[in-house]
Amino acid sequence: MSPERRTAWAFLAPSLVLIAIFRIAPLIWGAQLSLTDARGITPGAFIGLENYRELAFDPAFRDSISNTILLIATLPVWVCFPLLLAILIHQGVPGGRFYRATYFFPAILSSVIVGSIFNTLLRRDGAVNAALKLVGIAPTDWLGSSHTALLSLIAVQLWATFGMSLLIFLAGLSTVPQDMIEAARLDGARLRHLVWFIIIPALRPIIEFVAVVTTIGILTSMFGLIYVLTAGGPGTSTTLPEFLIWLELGKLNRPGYAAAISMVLFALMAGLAWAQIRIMQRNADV
Amino acid sequence: MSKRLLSIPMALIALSCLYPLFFALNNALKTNKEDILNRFGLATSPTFENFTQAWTRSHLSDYFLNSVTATVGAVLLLMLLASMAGFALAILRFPLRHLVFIAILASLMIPVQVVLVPFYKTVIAFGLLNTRIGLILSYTAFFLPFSIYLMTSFYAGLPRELTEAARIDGARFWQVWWFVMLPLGKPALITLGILNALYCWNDVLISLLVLQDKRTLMVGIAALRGEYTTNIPLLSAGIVLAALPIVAIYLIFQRQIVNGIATGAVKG
Amino acid sequence: MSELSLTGVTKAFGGVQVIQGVDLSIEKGEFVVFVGPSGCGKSTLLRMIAGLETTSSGTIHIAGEDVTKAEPYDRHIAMVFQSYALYPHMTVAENMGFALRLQGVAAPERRALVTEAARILQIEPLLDRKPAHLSGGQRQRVAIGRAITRHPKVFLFDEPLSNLDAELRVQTRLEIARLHQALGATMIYVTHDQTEAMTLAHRIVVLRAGRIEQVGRPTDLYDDPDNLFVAGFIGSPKMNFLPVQASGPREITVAGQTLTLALSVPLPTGPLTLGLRPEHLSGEGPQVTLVAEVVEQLGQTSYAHGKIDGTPVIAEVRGHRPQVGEAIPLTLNPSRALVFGADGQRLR
Repeated sequence: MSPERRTAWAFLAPSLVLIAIFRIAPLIWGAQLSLTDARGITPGAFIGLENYRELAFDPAFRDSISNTILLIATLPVWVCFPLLLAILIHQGVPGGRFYRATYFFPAILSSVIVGSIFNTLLRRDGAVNAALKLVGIAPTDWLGSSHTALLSLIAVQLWATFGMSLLIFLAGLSTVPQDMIEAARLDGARLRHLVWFIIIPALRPIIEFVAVVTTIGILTSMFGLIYVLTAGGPGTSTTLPEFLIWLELGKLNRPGYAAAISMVLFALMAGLAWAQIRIMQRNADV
Repeated sequence: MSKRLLSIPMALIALSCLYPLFFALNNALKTNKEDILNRFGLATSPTFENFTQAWTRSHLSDYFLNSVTATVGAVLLLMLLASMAGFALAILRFPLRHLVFIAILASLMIPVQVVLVPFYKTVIAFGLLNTRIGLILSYTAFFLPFSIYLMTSFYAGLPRELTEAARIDGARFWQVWWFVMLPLGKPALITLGILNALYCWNDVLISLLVLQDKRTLMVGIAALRGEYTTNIPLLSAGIVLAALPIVAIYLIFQRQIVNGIATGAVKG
Repeated sequence: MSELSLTGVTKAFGGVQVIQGVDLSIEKGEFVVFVGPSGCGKSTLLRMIAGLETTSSGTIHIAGEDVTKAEPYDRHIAMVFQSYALYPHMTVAENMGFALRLQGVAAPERRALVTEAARILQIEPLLDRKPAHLSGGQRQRVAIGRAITRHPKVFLFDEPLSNLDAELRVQTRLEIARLHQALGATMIYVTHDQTEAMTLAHRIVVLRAGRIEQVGRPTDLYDDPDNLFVAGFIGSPKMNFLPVQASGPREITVAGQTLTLALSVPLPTGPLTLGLRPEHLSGEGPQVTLVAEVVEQLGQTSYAHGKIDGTPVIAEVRGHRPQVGEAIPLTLNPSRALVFGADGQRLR
């Protein structure tokens, strides 16, 4: 082997080993586990797709899927809200740099911190209800009622992450050629024309990227928030698949069944992540 | 112009971004009694009692140490491994290079939730449960693909002649990495270090699994919330203490973080 | 023994043969220039000598040692890149001393060698600066300095002047020539600029499509090219080519005039090409007239562009300044005329 190849493999080896042990092997193991009736620590017998069949009739799982679909239905808000703010900052609203830094601030906080703070704000005897009471509005149990819990969860997560999408949009906007915008201005375009005919088309790949990343985030990074804000409740009204897996693991008696939920989540993820990888690969240029 | 008018909603949103942490800080300075009577008013006679209680009696100091160890260890390991792998993928030529790059990107598709059960079993099988090194390795494994992607695209953007000049100057390939690529990668490594520090520090799920009886700060805060549902000032003190390092880092490295995230997501 | 020798060297990228069997030997102390149009393989050949590209077949020897498979650092060569490729994070002194540092040369000795090289190039005041704070010309000197510091057996230059502006280019060209005299080192220099090739080289290697078209002293290539390609590539403005037919074993007819040439072999029948440089359209011989369509005035001389028999022709005019539309008398001087066969090869 040439020194070049030898060095390449030696440099990649530690990373590849770690990824293989902690990500790829567990995935294969999980797929295999999902086809068994393993209970507790005893390796189970092969039962084919029995776990998946049972899953289809599990009300908790069905709720977690419908909650996910509801969440994904709000995707336009997750994309348009930060996009609008990014365009405003980019077009030179006074104090843009301050807004950029401030809007991103919640995104650096841990979901546990965000969840704990909002828990004290939104709970029945929390600050929001206390404030509402002052102006004579009846208090709502934001987190305890199945009507508002999911909505509250969405709002908090949106609050915590819109800064991230905003930054990505701002980075994308900075690549829109300024002379193109100036040319359009000379042609008599107003801000709304600029946005519609120049900025949005130029940003299309970035918009795609944000949509995909946000969807992946909805599927995989809400655990911390659910864990401290609602614990999946009331009932299953804020349970998402990733939290359901955790609950099943916590019971620990049916790893095969938990693995089957994981595989469904993986299938959901795979398509999305593939799109993300294609975009990233295009950007990495290697 | 209308730009001035737009400032009002934008300022309100900015306020909403800052208020919750201020709210927590304000609560932390109250006594429990005062908080029950006045949920959102300013603390009338600020006290640091809650902070000392949270730090000592609620063991946040121990959790803090666990978080620092795991975060620092994982971040250093991530920078080292990502720089090496990125160098190999962007600079060196070897068969299967493209395939390895795709495979690493593809492993992004496997978040910890998807492999929760077998990952947990793997950690046990390697005797890494409840060890800090286990947590460091887990963090590294899960944050590595994105870090490698970032370093690969950074190195791929450097002129090829730099490597060639170093080779002509007599550098072995590992010396090209050590003397040229590692120092040149500093801006990307700083970005990556900060991002990974945020991820590791803020993580709950992985540490909940791997470090069950030791607890990191975030797990500790989550537990605190369960234990002291009625004592909001104490919980708030814990929250403020846990957020403090991150807020400090953000205030210092705000530009790098903001720019780093942007370039990490969409290059150039 | 020659300092560098290439024997049957080829290179294939994928299925494409970019270097097709090059044989060449270069003597110690020689200044050899590889020249050719872009894509001719000159840079690839240089990079193969440097060890930056592998050799598909054939062998490369440097100072008698077979280095065909050797890594770049085992070849005793230094290279100056077109983009300079200075390490941005190192000072000028560190850049120049990097090779020595890798060889384990101690710091004081390193500093002495670097200072010596810097003195030769007059860049001593720059030693503690970073490349970002240097001008293009200064970076170029540092890149050359980095090569000198190592005392290599062979210097390789890959289009080192193409990023400089015209004035600096001429100046640096002179300095490289001076440097070569001072060091007496073997140098191989790649360029697409035939003026650089003519002014610097002891010998020029003209490459086209991965093959050597001709090797020779600059004046030989100018006076006595082997084929149409070399004749057209060397010289500025380009040599005029006129399609002609043989009208006898040593006679050709062009523009109604008959030219008798001194050839050692009789001309074949069929189409031929007559080559006459713009500066050689005077002296003894049959006369033709060129009506100037465009005139380029250079002050001392002028170039008149027109057509002879429908073929575009450029003529150098000295002595007076022609006007557009003027009929300029030209001489088809048989002693300066070159004839090429249908295959492009020179007929002597």
